[in-house]
Amino acid sequence: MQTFRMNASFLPAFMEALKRWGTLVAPVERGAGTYVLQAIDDVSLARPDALRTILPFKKLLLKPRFAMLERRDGGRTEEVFDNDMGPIVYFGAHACDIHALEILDLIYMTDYVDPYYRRNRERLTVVGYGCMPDEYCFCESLGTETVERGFDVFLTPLGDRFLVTVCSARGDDIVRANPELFEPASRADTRDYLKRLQEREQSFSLAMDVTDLPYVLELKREDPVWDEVGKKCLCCGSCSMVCPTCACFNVVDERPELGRAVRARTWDACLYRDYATVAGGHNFRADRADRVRNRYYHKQEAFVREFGKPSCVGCGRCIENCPTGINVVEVFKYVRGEL
Amino acid sequence: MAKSKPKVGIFGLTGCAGDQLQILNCEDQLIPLARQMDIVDWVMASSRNDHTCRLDIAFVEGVVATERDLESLKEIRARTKTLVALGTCAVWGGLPAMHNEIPREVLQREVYHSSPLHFLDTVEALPPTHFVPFEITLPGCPIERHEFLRVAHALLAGAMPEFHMLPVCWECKAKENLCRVVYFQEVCAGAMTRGGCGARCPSHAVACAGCRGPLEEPNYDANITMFADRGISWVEIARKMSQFSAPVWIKQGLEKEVRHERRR
Ligand code: SF4
Ligand code: SF4
Ligand code: SF4
Ligand code: SF4
Repeated sequence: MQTFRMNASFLPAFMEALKRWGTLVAPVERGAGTYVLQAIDDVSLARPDALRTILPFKKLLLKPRFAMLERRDGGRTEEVFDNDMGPIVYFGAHACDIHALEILDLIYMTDYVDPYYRRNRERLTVVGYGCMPDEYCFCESLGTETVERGFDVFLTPLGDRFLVTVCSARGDDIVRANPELFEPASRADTRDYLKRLQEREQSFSLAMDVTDLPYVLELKREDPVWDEVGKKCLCCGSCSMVCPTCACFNVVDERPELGRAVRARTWDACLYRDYATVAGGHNFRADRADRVRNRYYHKQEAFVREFGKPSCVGCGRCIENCPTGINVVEVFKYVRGEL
Repeated sequence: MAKSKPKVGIFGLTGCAGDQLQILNCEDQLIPLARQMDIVDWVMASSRNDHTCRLDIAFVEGVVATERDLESLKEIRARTKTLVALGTCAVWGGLPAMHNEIPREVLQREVYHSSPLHFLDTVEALPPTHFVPFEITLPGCPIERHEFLRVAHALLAGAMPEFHMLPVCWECKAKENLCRVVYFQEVCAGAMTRGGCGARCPSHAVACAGCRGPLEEPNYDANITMFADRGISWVEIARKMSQFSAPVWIKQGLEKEVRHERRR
C-alpha cells in the first residue's frame, strides 16, 4: 500500500482523469439530503461526502432486473447482455461499502461463480472516499469502519488536501498516469490522517454488541421477540433492497410479445411471501415473523457459520429506509434482553 | 402442428370498461394477438357475437352489482375453461365496493334525488372472485397492458403466466424514489399493494393509493399503526386506506381471496 497527498482543489481534475478507466459513477443528490449513484459526465454533480445512496453499489454489478436469455419463435435461445455495464469507476465508496463488496464477492464468486456478476465485477474500479458517521452508522461495532484492501484508490479528506491510499495495480496506474496531481505524503499528512481517524472513532453514536451473537441467536430462535417484530413488519422488502449485502434473486420466464420469450433475473428477498413458495404451493416461511427472523439470522448467524463473519456491515441503510421504524440495533438489543 | 385457435370471450359486468379499453389500447400488439385467437364474444368491440359457444379463455371485468351480473357471471363460468379476472373490480371489488356499508336505497336517493328507481336493482357490490373460481387474477385500475399481454401470450403458448408477486415498494426502491412514508409522512399503500405498475404514483411524487389491491396478506394493523405513529390522523388514514376498498378485503375474509390468488 502506498500513500500520497493530493491538493483538495485537484479533485475535479482527478475525477476527469478517472474517466479513462470507465464510466464515472458517483453519488448525486436526488432530493434534499438523499443521494443516488449515477453515471455522470459533469464532475461537479458528484457529492462524495454523501453518506448513503438509496440503493448501494450492488446495482452497478447486478441490475434490479435484467434479461438473461431470449428466444424468438423458430430461433435459438440466445444469451443477451442486458446486465453488462462495461467498465465502471465507482467513485465515493465508503469503508462499509468496500467491506460489503468483499461479502458480495464471497457470495457470488466462491463456489459457483456467477457470470453476470463477474463480468461487471472484473471491470469495476473502486475509488473510496472517507466519511464521518451519522446517527444510523454502526460499522465500528462490526469492524468495518476502516479498510485495508478491496479498493483501487482511497481518498481521505484532510481539509485542504487528501491523503491518497493506493491498493492495487490499477490504482497504481491511475496515480502514475496523473503525476501532476500527487505528491508523496509527508509526516504531517500521516499525523492529520490519524487525528481524523480518532475524531471519527469518537463520532459514532450507535453501537451494537456482537459478542457471541451467533450463539445468542441459536438460543433465541423461538423467542417471542420475533413475533413482535413480525407484527410490525410490512414485508415491504425495502430493508433488503437497500442492503449492500442482500444478494438473493429470482428467475422468471416471460413472453412480453408474441413470438418472443425472455428469461429475466430480478432482485428478490426472503421478506417476500413468494420467496419461500415451492412446487405445489407450499410455503415454508408463510409467517411474517419467520421471514423477518430469517433476515436477521442469515446476516448474523448463518453467514458467520459459513464465512466466519457476519454479512452486515453496519451501513444503517435498513434503519433509515424502514417505513415502520424497525431498527436492527434495537432488535438485537431486544433479543439480548437489554431493552 | 395444426392447432385450432382458442375461442376467446371478453366481458364487462358493472364497471367503467377501463380494462377492456386497455386491451384495445394495446394497439400495435393487438392485431397480431387477435390473429392468434378467435374472439367470438366481445360486445364492446364487435357487433357479431356468439353468446353461447364454449370458450377456451374468458376475461371478465367489473363487479357483481346486480342480480343480472351474477347470472351472466355464472353463465360465463359454465362455458369457459380458463377464466381470467380482469382489473381490481373483478379481483377485489375495487371502487364500486368502496361504500358497501351504505344501503343501496340511500345511494339511489342521494344520487338521483328520487324515490327508489326500480330499474336500478343494485345489490352490494362484490368481486366476481367472491362467487366463482378463477384460474387467473390480474388486478389493476386499470390493468397494465404489459401484464395483460403476458397473460394472453402465456395462455396462447399453453402455459400459465408467471408473476413474481412483489409489493409496489419493490419497484419503488428499484427506481430509487424518495419514500412517501419515510420522507413525507404520507399514507402510502405501496407495501400492501401488488406491484406491476412500476410504482407509477410514487415515481410521480404521489403516494400509492393501492389501486392494484393487496399483494397476498397485507399487514393491515402494522400499516395503520405506522401511519398513526407518524402523527397522521385516523380520519386521514381511514379515508386513504379505504379508497380501494381495503375494508372489503377484510370483511370478505382475506384468506378466501388469498387462496384464489395462489391458485392463479
Ligand atoms: S443489514 Fe442494514 S446495516 Fe447491515 S449492511 Fe444491510 S442495510 Fe446495512
Ligand atoms: S423495511 Fe421494515 S417493514 Fe419493510 S420488510 Fe424491512 S423490516 Fe419489514
Ligand atoms: S413510497 Fe410507498 S411504495 Fe414507495 S417505498 Fe415508500 S411505502 Fe413503498
Ligand atoms: S402506485 Fe399504487 S395507486 Fe399508483 S398505479 Fe401503482 S398500485 Fe395504483
